[in-house]
Amino acid sequence: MVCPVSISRKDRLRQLLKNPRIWRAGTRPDSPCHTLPTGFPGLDRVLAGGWPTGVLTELLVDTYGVGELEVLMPALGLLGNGRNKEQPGTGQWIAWVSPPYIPYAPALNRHGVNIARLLLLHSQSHQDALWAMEQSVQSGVCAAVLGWTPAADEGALRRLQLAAEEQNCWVVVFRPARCRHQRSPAALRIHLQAGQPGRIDLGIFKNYGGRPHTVELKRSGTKPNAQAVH
Amino acid sequence: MPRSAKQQSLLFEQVSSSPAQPDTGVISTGRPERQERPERHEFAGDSSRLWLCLFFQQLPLEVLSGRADAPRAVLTGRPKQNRILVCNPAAAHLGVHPGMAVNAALALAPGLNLHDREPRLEQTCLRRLANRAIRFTPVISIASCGALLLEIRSSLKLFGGPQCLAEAAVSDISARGHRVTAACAPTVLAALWLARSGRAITLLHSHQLAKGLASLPVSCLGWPEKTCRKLRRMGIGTLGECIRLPRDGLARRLGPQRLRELDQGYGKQPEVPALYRFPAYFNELLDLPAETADRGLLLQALQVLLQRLDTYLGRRQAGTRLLWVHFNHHKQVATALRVGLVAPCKDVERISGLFHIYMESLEINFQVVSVSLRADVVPGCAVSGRDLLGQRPSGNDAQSSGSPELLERLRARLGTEAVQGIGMVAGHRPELAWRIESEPEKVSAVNGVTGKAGPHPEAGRPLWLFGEPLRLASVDGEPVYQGALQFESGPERIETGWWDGGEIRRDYYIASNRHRMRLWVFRDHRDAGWYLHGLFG
Repeated sequence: MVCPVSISRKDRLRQLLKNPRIWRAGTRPDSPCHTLPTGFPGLDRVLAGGWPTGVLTELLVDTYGVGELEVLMPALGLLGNGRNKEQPGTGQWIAWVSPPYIPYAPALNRHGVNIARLLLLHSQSHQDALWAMEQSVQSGVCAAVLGWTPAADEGALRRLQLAAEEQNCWVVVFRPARCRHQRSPAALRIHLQAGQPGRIDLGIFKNYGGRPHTVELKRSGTKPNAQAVH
Repeated sequence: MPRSAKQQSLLFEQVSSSPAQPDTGVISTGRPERQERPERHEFAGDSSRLWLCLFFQQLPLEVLSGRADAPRAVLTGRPKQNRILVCNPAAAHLGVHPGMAVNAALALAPGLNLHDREPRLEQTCLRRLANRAIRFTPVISIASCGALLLEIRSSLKLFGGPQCLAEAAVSDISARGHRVTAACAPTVLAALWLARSGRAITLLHSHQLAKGLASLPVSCLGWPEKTCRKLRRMGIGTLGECIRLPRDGLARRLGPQRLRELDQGYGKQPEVPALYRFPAYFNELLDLPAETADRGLLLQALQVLLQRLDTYLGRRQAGTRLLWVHFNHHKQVATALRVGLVAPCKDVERISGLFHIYMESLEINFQVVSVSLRADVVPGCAVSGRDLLGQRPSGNDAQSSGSPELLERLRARLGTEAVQGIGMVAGHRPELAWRIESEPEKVSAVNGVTGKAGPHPEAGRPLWLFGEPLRLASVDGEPVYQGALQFESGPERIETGWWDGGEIRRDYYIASNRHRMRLWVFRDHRDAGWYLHGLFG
């Protein structure tokens, strides 16, 4: 098929870019995602406001104990905290699906997380874990769903992504770092590593509507401080 | 002979045109059975009550299974003079009628199917119909002769008058395949007599009783055949003639019980109907057409039972909280399933969804012959779960009601113990400073924020705790976990606990290894070993 001569190459390019499946780094998508402040100003800047809700966030970690929970703590502290009715997620659950160890209540409380709204779900199999995650997201009563699912395949993640979109839920999936090269429908993919002593390195290698970045955060319970390294 | 429509409407006009009807000697409050009234002749009926009688003439036949077009009859069951009790239209067409001797009936209709009466089935059927009839009134009495008596005075306004109510009740019962005649009267017995005579007459007030009952034949009194024959020989054919007889003579000839029945029917003496008590449980059994162990078919059977439960709960305006399902096997112990709900619920769709999840993991090892469903009934559960247009509520309503639903579904698939909350305990030993909340929905939502932080609120507690401290290997007395450890801070001494046998004596350190994992390790002074107790996630 021959295009009419009047349509220039530039017009054709513009037409192509209208395809919703194509997004350009640096331009926001048409439907703005809701965000949840991360509590780290540097990270907020890179993520354009904070953790995106309504999409899937993937945290890839080599090992546990490198600050993978600390990164989430300020945002979890904001959620489901009955102190202020205006806050998002008041009275809603924060579901932890098949965590590798016991989330320690006194430490969580110290980070300001409302442990009375914490839901621990243990599962026998990966299928059950994914099912529980999907149910929790779909129910609309969970403000956040954190899942430790090493065996999640692309189809399962896509289902989670769709459910998250529908309920505008903050969904974080923890997966081993070797999954980095697998395809994933997650809108935000971060490789989290221990950096210099007392630091956490966040390698943001997929960021819907933003550029890949590396962010270094200081490990501390009290005064979060972040520096974006470009 | 049914009274003509004109006569009936006249009757109504009479009532409606004189709303302030002077009911002399009428007791308007309290139940008649609780009243002690020495002057029995002054008792003029309890006009505050109106009984609708639904009489099932064919009930003995209807509870038995069989083809409708074949001539069938049920016998009275008396050993010496066995007679026909009821017969179906096909048999009546051949000339068979109730009261006929068996041999005579067989001579007329050689192919007549004769059945014995099943009183137990009849009573079960009447109870089920009574459970249906609660839609119209909560005051129901079951007459053993095969009739339901509904006290409808208080429901008249809601259903638009006695005729509309009677029509609704009759069509509701007819839909279940029963032939029914209905009649209204201020006394139980009068309503029963009218219904038995087949006359759809509505008597609203006790002063109408004498006139309305006068033309009824004595056979509709339900007295033994011998008594009726005696009356007929005396030249008494109708109730009006019977009531005109001298009272003492009647009592002497027929017995004082019969006279009392007549008085009760005419509202001259109080009557004591035994009221039906609604069961505290819904309990239904469904026999499967064929033995099966197929989950799909069993779920279908459950769905049928759930529909019945739905109707039942709707009528009772109740919810349910606990359900038991039994899959009965032949000569084997039934496979049982117990489903608990977080809060009383009447949303059968939600329960059905739970059953689907439970059935996925249920092992059924034998062929199932029948399924039974038992559910407790929690009255006063008025939340219907649906709006006016039959839609499920959305938005904030769904959020507030979705929480128990989610927990139920999760428990159904993962198991009750797999769904937990966590809480804090004031204690100095790390493993005892928290606890599992097995019912997270019961924990107050704001509790966690202001919860007691224990005696050590300072930093230095890891986000991940190990269920059991992990014993570390040591090289040259130094602990090793994925490489040598570098100590960042410590020691923090945590000790004692002699009062409950959980005594400890540990020095805690924060350490990191070559992967830069931050570890919470301790040295146990009792065995001088190194342990890993948590990770700073």
